[in-house]
Amino acid sequence: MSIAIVCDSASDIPSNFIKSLDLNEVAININFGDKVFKENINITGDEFYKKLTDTKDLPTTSQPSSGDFEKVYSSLLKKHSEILSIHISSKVSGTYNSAIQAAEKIGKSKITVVDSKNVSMGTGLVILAVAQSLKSKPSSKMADLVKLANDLSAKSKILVACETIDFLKRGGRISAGAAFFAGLLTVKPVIGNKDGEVISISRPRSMVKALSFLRREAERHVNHQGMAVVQTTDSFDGRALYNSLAGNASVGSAKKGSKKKKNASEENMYIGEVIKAQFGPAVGTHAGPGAVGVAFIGDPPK
Amino acid sequence: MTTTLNENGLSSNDYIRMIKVFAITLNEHRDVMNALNVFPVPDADTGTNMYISIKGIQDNINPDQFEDFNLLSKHIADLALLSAQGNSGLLIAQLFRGIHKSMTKSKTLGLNEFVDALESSYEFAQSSVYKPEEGTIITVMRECAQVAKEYSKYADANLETVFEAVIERAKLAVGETKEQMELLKRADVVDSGAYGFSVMLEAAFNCLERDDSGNLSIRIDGTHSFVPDILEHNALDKSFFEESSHDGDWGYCTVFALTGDSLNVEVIKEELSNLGRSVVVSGSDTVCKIHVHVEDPEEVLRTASKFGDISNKNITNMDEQYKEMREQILSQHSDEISLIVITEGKGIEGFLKDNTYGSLKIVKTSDFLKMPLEDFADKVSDISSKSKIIVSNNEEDYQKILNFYGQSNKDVIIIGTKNDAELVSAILSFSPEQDVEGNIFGMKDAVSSTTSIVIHPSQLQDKNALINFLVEESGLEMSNTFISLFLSESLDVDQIAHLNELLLEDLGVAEVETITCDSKKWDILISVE
Repeated sequence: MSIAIVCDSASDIPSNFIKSLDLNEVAININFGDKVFKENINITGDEFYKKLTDTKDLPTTSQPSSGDFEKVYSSLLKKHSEILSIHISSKVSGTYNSAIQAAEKIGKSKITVVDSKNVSMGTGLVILAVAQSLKSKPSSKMADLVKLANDLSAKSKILVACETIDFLKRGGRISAGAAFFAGLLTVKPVIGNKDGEVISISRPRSMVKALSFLRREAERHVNHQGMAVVQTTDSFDGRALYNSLAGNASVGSAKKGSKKKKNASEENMYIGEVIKAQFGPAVGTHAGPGAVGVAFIGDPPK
Repeated sequence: MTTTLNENGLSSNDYIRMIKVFAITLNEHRDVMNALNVFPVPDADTGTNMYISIKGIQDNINPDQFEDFNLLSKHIADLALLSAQGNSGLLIAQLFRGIHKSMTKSKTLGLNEFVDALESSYEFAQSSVYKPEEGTIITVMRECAQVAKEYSKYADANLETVFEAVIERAKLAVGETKEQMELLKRADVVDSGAYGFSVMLEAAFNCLERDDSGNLSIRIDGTHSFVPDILEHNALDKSFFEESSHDGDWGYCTVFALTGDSLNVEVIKEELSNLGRSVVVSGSDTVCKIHVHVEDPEEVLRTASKFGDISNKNITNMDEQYKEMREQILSQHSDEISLIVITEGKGIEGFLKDNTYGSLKIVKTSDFLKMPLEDFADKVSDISSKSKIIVSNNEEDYQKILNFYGQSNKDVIIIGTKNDAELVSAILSFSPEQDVEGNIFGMKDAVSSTTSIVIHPSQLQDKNALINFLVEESGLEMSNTFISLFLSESLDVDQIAHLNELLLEDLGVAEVETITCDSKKWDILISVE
């Protein structure tokens, strides 16, 4: 008998990974006016951002109901003996609570729900690492996978550079919003995760500077175990950040034999795959169109 | 003398509705006022006191017993005195005494009565306080009375136009209290009681209506809110309590009524002022209300009992209230990290205050140079945050402070910037929500990735030379960069326009933002990001 992994669409895991790693995604609800959409089921990311820019009212997101989770859990338990359900921070969304409720109803002994204390690919990278570990060793014990999920969650970071402050202001739900209202300057707010919340990190003046801050933050960490570049819609800024981070991989390996001394950031360079992902509405509604982020799992520098 | 105007005035039922409007408004603004409360004692109860004082009138009015407005207004003035709580509550009661006085000859409250009532209210308030200070509710009452008198002289004056002028003046006067009293200035707040008085009047004005036949009324029809918006006044913040050294010496706020045959308000006021502070005595020769701050309430009550019988006694421990407010505010702003910036210059100081998110203390460079490092360190350790980041905008000072604290100090971190451009970048990358390590990294990163170039105004004359100079100095392509221009006030509009054009059109930078900011070291500082 085997373990199944459940996630929610707010972890922004690209669909090819959902398929290749047999992940079971529960959709977040997106409300535009009185219309309700299910993320990645009857609305795509690009459609969402088009609507977000076109409509005056801000869409809202709501967590999947515990009923949504019950359905997924019970159908999975027909084929699997246990379920590991990993979700975005309980301080940001009620998804974790819905999952807990459903697990209590269906069978606590068979279902373990983990609060990743992160959002978007900050959660996604944790799920991917756990799923890969399970795939490479199908006999893994639940306790080991839960420990892995918790350890990685503690080391997972996400930083998001917002093109504009307007959506943070309009949304008002992310606590970080308040940070940037002071002053009249043009700033590109950078927000990120801390203890399960989304907080303000920095206020660079230009997107170029914001992106280089994101890159340097990622590079100053060590022992990376995953990295992703997340954007709302495909943009120059997103590609630039991706290229500068993913570029390291090829440049890094090409330089292996070279005589040039490696500097500190090259030592820390992440040489694995940099995943490209898209922000769903959970973060996208607040960060706004044009936002670009980096997520990574890594140890803080010594 | 009854004129047409008076016939169109407000009725006694309108007056009762007005009191209801006051009560609702004060209740809505209660928390804001409590948070503003600094004078005479920061004990977070001005809003509550004013509300309770008005609510006491509203709850005890018995309109059926009184045939006319005059008798009712006497009843209300008496109730106002009896239910008054706290300094501001007793002062607000003077408004109802003023209205009563103005109603002695009239049946309705019209323009003349309104003007008279404001005048009398001010006089009552002024005379009830032992040595009144500027910048309180009394100041605003005076301003309102004055403006009402002036505007009532116009030929087309009516209650609406004069009331409106009074509201406008009241709002301005509330804002001015901050400049009038040293304590308010230091706390950076407007007077709480004055604020309450202003919103009360504004709410009443919002309900004032004149129908087609010219009859005035106070209408509360429930269809819209008459309560004025809560203005964005600064509430008391942490720094006020950090710098304030009061500890257990506020005493007791003692309020009671006195009844007798021949009370002499002046004599009572004089005598009590020897026993305590913030003395307010208001009333007639048969009944008066007393407010005083004392260490020993029993002593005051003993003294007062010589003059008459004591009732409606209410004593609160201000030390406890103060402690509670202090703790609440200090915990509210529990920033883990504070910034201390050593710099000087009119423009940059204001800029930093407006644009810093979190706790910021500015030490002027000239003050820093005069003070021994030990004194500076004392100032730093007075700030209650766990970690402090000192930003020095001068190489020499930076080294001095670094040597003093040492490199490895975990709670005091020193970051050096070379000029205002680097300083601004560092400040903008600070976030009190982030951890210390993240902030240090972010601020140092911001400083190192800021390229700043000083140019002299004379260089503006030779365009090509300037372009070459800028490209050379910045060491990078200028196109698509973001430029902050720090300009001294001495530059003229043409020079600024010329520079903007050069940057945007000739060099193709993405965006230019101008910050006017005086410095002795440069006239034009260009920051390239």
